[in-house]
Amino acid sequence: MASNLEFISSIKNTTTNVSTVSFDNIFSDKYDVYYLTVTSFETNTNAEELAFRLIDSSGSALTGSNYTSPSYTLQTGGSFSEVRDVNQDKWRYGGYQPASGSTGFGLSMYIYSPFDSSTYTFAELQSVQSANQYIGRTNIYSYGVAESTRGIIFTNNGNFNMDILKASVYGIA
Amino acid sequence: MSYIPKDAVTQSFQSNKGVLTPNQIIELVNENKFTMYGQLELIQTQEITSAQTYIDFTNIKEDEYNVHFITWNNVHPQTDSKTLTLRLSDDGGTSYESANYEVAFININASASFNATGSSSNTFMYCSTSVGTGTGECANGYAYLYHLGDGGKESFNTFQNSDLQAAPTLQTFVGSQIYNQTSTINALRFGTSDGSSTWTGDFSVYGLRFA
Repeated sequence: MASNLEFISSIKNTTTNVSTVSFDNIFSDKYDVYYLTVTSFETNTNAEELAFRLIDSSGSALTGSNYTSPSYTLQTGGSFSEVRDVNQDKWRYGGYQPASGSTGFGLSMYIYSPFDSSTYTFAELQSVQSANQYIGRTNIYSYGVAESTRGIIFTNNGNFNMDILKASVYGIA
Repeated sequence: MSYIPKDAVTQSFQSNKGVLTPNQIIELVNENKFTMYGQLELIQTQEITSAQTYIDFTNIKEDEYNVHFITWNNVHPQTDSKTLTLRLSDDGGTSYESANYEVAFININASASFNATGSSSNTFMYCSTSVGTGTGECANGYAYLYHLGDGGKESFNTFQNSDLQAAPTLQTFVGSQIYNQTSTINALRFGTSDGSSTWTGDFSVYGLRFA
């Protein structure tokens, strides 16, 4: 029983054609560091990227232009590509899924100090998917307002909806 | 007999009721119904002190865990400048797949330009490259493995390592890898792809409960 990775909650959405999935009330003053894993992500009818917003202390999505996301796309062929999102309204490029026939998805994300109202929220992400040559993302994220957040909303880069999303979150004690 | 008999209430993780005897607690623990925190569950550790060519894990509980976490720590080849690889098996370790891997990672290092590596037809997954035998040189890293036990999905890997490689140069890889065949993976192998070195070091496999 030496492990201090403590399960908090999991979520599984199977409602088709949704633009957001809310994973609320997962952050608290009990932990400073969280581990989030996404093991299923399938889009509705079009290829799309997974994106994230934070939920404020009253349960509302934070939609201001305060999200920064340097992202590196890992490819099996060709040059890797860089994206430097600054002051956007969400954390983007969490992982890509093709239009149909998903053969799996994996994402690991460490989130730092989301509940602490005195600091920004930071995160690191690595994801992997089977979608032609674009098989992975490695990103760092920041939310540039010092405020307390209590959850995450899964969304898209801005275009197409999702059908399936399954995620679990753990606190690191 | 409990004050409130165990079977009179429904026990589940994060929802235990009543007064339980030690034997009832043990029973609930075995059924994963007793609330104990520590959801990164060690499956097996191998501490290799007598160098061997391959380090195999043939009981990875792929039917229990959707996400595995593996680590390699203080790993030394017995032949200089060798690549530590990971291969998967779907026949319990009788054989390990030597094709159908896709890899993409960035090499960040202390002596030269960072470089990107990508391949859609690799014969293994990477752990570390050019691991040396000199003083202080060793390989360390971790990977998350997804869907190993799901026969309808490919097997996925995100990884990061930190090595003092053979130059010696401090390097890290950050990347994503896939075994692109849909199959049930039930064993893992660490070693060189061609068996050209033996290895010492600590290797561990964990399951992530509730993922």
